[in-house]
Amino acid sequence: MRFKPRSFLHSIGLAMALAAALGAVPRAASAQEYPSQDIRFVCALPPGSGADVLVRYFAEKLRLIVNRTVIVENKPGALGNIATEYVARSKPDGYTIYVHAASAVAANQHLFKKPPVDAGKAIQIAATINQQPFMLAVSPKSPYKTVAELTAAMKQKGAKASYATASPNGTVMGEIYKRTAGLQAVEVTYKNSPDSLNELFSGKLDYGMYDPVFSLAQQREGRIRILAVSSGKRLEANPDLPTMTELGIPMDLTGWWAAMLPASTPKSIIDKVNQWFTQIVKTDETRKFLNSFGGDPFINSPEAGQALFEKTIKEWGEYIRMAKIEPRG
Amino acid sequence: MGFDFIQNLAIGFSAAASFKHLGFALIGCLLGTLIGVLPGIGPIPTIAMLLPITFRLSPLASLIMLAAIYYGAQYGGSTTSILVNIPGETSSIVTCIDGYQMARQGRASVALAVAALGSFFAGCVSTVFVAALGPPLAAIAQQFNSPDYFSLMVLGLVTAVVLAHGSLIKAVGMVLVGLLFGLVGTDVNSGVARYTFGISELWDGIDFLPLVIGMFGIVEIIRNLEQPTLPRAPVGTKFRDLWPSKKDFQESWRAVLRGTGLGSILGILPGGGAVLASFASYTLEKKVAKDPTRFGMGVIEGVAGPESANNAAAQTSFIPLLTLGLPSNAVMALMMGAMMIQGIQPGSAVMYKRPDLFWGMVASMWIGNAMLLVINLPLVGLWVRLLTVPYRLLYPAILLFCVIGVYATNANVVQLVLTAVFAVFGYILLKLGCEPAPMVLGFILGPLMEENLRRSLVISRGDPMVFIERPISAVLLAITLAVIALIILPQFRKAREEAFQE
Amino acid sequence: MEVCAGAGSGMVRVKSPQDFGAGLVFMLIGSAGLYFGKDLTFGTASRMGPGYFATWLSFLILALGVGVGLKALVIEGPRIEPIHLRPILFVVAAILVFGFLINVAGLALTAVLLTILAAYARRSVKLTEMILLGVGLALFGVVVFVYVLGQALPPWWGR
Repeated sequence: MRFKPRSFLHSIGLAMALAAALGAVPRAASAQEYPSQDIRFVCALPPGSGADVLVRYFAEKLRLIVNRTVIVENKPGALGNIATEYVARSKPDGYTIYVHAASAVAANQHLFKKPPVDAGKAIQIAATINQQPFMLAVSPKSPYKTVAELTAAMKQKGAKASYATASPNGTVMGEIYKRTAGLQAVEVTYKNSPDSLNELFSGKLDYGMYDPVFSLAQQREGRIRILAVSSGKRLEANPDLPTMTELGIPMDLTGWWAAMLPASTPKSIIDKVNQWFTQIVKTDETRKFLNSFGGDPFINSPEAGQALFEKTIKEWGEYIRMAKIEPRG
Repeated sequence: MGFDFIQNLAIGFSAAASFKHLGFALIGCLLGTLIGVLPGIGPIPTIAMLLPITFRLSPLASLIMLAAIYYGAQYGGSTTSILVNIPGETSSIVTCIDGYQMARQGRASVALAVAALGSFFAGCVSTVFVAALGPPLAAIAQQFNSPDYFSLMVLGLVTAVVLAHGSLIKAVGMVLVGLLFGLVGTDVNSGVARYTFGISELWDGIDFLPLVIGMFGIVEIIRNLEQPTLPRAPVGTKFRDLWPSKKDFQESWRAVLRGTGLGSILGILPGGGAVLASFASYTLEKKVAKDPTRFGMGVIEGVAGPESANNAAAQTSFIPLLTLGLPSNAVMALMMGAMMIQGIQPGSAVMYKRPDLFWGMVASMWIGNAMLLVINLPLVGLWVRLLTVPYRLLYPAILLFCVIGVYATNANVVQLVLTAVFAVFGYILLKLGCEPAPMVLGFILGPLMEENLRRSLVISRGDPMVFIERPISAVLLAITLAVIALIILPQFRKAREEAFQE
Repeated sequence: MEVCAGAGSGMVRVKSPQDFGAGLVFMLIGSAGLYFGKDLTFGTASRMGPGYFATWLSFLILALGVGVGLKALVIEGPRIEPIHLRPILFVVAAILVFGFLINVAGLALTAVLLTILAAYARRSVKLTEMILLGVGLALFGVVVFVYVLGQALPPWWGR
């Protein structure tokens, strides 16, 4: 290898100059009017998944309002911890917005032995987006048309009964139901809801706790029958689905989505973000879109959102204890 | 039924064959192929990257384009498997085994052409499957319960051993090691994290891409760099050399047929069916061949069969999505997401409420396949010419694309560290004569197998007889035993011969 | 390859170095599996805990490793090809440098760095040629991945 120092440096210099011409991007615009740069939405689930669809919808709507590119960055993993940590550590300049289920971020504080950040302190809620309940469903072939019928049958079956869950939400809902109703059913866990359908059909499973997107889609197909929802009050999205509470099993488990930013983001930016999302969520189009996901629009001020966030974190502490869920290492 | 079917296809073709839609199919195929061809980037990252482009289009147009991107990326992935031994996704791994060897023998264009033609044939046949047998096939897939999936995975794992052309016992070892690596991450049945060493990024397990790129792509580059002179693939310049000979066709048409059949059936099974298609086809070809020892050295059946199986499975894997609204693999999940963004709820309702959408998609599958053939056959010459670029310029480019591919899929430095780790691991294994392909299959199927095993036992409350009581499971286990016998018997015969010789 | 096994027990010839090495690797992996999995709940056959499968599997791998190793002492097999440190070291370095610097320095710069590092995996390197290649690849990468495909890869310093 012939090494000529002078020409080497010359080449490096040339390379640097060329490389500089390539990637020159506008400098950090802290002194300019917000937003003066592209905005990034962080999505904690993989591209194309149900959640990703929701994030992209809002990205598109925001783009129309602020006339800036809104990039969706997928940072999946560890039930959202990776994305949460990423956002908590990003610059609090309003250009990184975490669009995700704040309830899940809250739950992770207790689901994990060592959560990567203290979400209550590191993340701020700028705006809430929607509220979705979980659902209790049975096979369409089963004879149970109400929760009462199901409960009676399950009591009879005792330890021979089985039910499906596919997420911590489902597990918690299942536990509350079991305890209040005094059942001994065995929980069967699945990686995702569709995996459990075959067994629900063949009768190996008696009932299941499912997320709303899946439940509604399958009910439309006539492949499951939803008996009740887990929210405290009936939702406008599904007004004829009774709540577990009114059927005698008190619970108020809702997943709620929010736009979140790092905690030290200035109030002016937080309020701006709140303004944008409120504007988007208020529209009829968004309402219909959110309804199709089985949820209702949910509008709150940043302060109210933050208070709810802290409350949810506490609640999940209770849930984990009650459902005897072993925090993941 | 026959008349309905033709009528439906007519609706579909008229919807899909408008200039606009043909145009989108073409763009999709081109984009998909070009991105898929970049080493390290297979169908899933490609579709994910190009998904936003489809948002502004009408539902049918976006579906057509997405499907075209998918086939294009699959084909592009096969191209890289053949040319540089880097699989873009699971099904391309098998193509690497013999396809790359063919390329090293200067028969890259033949391999590429056979892959294209085989895939086209398989695509046509399986499209008919989808159109005619969609719903009844989906009904069968719905019968699969956890014990059946378990047995299917066991069968898959046993066939994994056949992938190796070297020592059988080391291949078994590799499959087991792959199984162990597959366990890294959260255990579905209990929520406990296994072998994660506290690293958040390992919580969901080891990503497929870093493992495969490290053990296949990077190791290959290093291997080439160790040679005293850098590789230079001999390339036939006459068109006659670029096109498969009559002999090639004779050797491969049966493999194509078998692959198509296998792939069409396996693709329908949600959760893992399509992955098995190319592996199963390779196993079948090896078992059926008169001289199985040729496999691994550049045998055309080793490309024709798996590629056809691959494509057939890719087509039929749309069935659960279109008829039941259930995605059978990650790509279908992406498609489903795309449909939902467009406001379509995938499921049987689509067939009745929007027949133009459903049948239009089916028709566009055929159109997409045809287009791919048209685009790619001429491109074969281009790819082969790419091989003539001096290796010293080529391999940094390959390395860069691999690395970008990994990072673009999951933007985390840990992924790249993993890639490096697997490169080193793969290198060590290379030196010790262990093959990576069986390990990768163990890695993919292992966790599924364990998950279903434990779930079956929870549901049956600990009764192991459930695996034999269920008919599907029993049949699959019986086939597994048969395959094991087929594998072991020749070994005994060989050992006896060796013993006699001594 | 001749290996002395045990003090005073005489020389044991490893007939198949590759297989012997493979056996060792399997034994190592199996033991690691057992060691790192020791805290996992075992459970019972009808109610398997997270450790059940993992432990059995590790045992199997360990046993297989012993088997392969022993076989290597008896049956002839191929030698291990010589190991060249340069290619693997530089290629791995290139990957790691990319991984750690991409978010800091951006795609353009890291691509150039990667190309140069990878180049040194060979013996005779023309630096100018490699820098030009690096710049060319960086350009291609930035245009295709960041601008055309809109990937969240930072093209330059900062964001």
